Amino acid sequence: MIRVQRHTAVTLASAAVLVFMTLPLIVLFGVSLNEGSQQLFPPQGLSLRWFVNVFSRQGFVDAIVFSMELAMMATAVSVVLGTLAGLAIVRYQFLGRDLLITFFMSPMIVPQVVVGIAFLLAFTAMRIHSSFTALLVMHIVLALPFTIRVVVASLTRFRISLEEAARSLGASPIHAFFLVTLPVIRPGMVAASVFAFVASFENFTATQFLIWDRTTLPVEIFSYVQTENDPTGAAISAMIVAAVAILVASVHRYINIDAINHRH
Amino acid sequence: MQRIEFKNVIVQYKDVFALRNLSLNVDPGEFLALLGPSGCGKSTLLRVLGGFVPYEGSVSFDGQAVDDLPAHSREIGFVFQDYALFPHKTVRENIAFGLQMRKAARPTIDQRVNEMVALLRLDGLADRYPSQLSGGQQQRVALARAIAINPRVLLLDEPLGALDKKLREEMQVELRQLQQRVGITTIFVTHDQEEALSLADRIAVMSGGEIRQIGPKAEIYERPANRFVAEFMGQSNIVPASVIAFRDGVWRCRLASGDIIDAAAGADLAVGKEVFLLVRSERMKLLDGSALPADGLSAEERLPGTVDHVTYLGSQIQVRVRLVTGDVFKIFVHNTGAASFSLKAGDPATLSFSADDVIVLAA
Repeated sequence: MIRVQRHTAVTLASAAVLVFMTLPLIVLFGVSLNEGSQQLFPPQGLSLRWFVNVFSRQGFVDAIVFSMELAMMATAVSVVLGTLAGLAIVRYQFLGRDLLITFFMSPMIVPQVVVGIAFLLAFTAMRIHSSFTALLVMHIVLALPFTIRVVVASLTRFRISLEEAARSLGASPIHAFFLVTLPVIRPGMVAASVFAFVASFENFTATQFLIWDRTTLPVEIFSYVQTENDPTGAAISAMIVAAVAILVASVHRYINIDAINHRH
Repeated sequence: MQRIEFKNVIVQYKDVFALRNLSLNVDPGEFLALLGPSGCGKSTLLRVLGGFVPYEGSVSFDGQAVDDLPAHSREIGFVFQDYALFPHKTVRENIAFGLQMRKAARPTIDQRVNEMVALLRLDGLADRYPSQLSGGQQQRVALARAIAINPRVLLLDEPLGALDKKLREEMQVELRQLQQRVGITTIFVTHDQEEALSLADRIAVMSGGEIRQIGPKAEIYERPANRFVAEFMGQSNIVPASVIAFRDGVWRCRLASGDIIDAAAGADLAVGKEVFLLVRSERMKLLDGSALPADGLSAEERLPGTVDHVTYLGSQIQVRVRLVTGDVFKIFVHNTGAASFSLKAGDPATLSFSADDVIVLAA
């Protein structure tokens, strides 16, 4: 047996990371439970009134609905486009392939402020800046790096002999793709959808530039905490954390890299 | 059953030839092994037939060219090295896949799947997923799925490579019996000469995208056409020599050490020609250097040497004998008891063999 030697410094560093990651969340949940209107930690008295308050404000309700619509559509489109792009990247060797991969990944690297301004200027020139379409297009672009990455990972692991076996048994290329390839990479596509949804739903910086009369939830929260000083912002944020946690937990077996391709 | 013909097939990847102008006929119902080291083009040849790689030249079934047919219209049963079972489908669904693609009626499909389950002894496994099966069971499902469509030819790409030695030997027997029962023309790719010998009717030995020799398996083993085939078909004891005379139907050859060896067979020979002499390990006898028993062999059917190394292998003892020329011959002695074998490294020894068992290869 090989004994893994854990160095004290490594243990301390890991503990520190865990603390810094969870501490803000603990404070957030604590503040959201305050009975009074002050944002205190530990909370003074316990109450769910600020959670109720979220839904009594039409602005939040509208923003939740709007963000959901936007995120679902951005997810659907980016998963389809990401799968097509992933197929091109994994299956074909072509000139400028590496450049294309870098280009697709660039929304993850380019500062969000730059992305936002660039889209605002472009859409203004096209005279479609104040529209759902404009916002959707940008969110698709923001979600694509995530979907492409995950789909490329699943397609790379996908054994091409499965498709060839389907072909030899009489399946046309289209049949082979839909009957064999797609079902086998489905866990990867579910994971890609989760990443795309979260990337769209939580986006704040770039989204801000394209907001007009309707607004997304992160932008709504930001404008709320700028003017109001009660724990409502903490309450809605706590709900988002809980929702994301449930979402990720429910698809955990799909996202778990080892589980992909070994589902049974 | 179909006759398959490859005519001047060329496959080129960038500037590397995977197949160089290869022609080959496979007889109906025949079991042909494509044997060669990795990268020799044997798998590429299967993929040409399967319609998975672009090629020049022509492939025909019963005289009909199939070059314009895509993979899914070629009616070929392909068993892949990794089996390529669909992980999201049960055994039954895997076997039924090809029949569904042919739009067969439900009862027809069920009947054929049940036939296949019985033929390949998969009873009780039909509703399992591939990941719940052992390697040997997965192998049988892959065969069942390929045979279910009544293919024109069965192609097997190193199908036993992933199995352990014991299972591989069992599957060899099973595969051979299955092929004879179904009577389907089968082409089998392997890098293992023993596997090729135990399974095939004929063997095509390949290297560098070409067939180096093709023929019935005994012929490939007994009369290799060149040094590559000889060496690929098992441990060979090879020594360079030159032909010095032809007398009474026997070629007399001289080794660099001055020793004279007679060889009964050999085409294309002439006095003065440089050649290689080959003797299979199992055709030689090892004699203690000091004794010269009367075994009816002439002096030209013996080679003196020194025991170089003795390896105990259980049922056999492997002895490496170094000739005066420096070449090393390996021979196996049956282990019939401790008293029967007393040679050790450094002892003088003599190898004896009949002139009929000396194979002459062009240099």
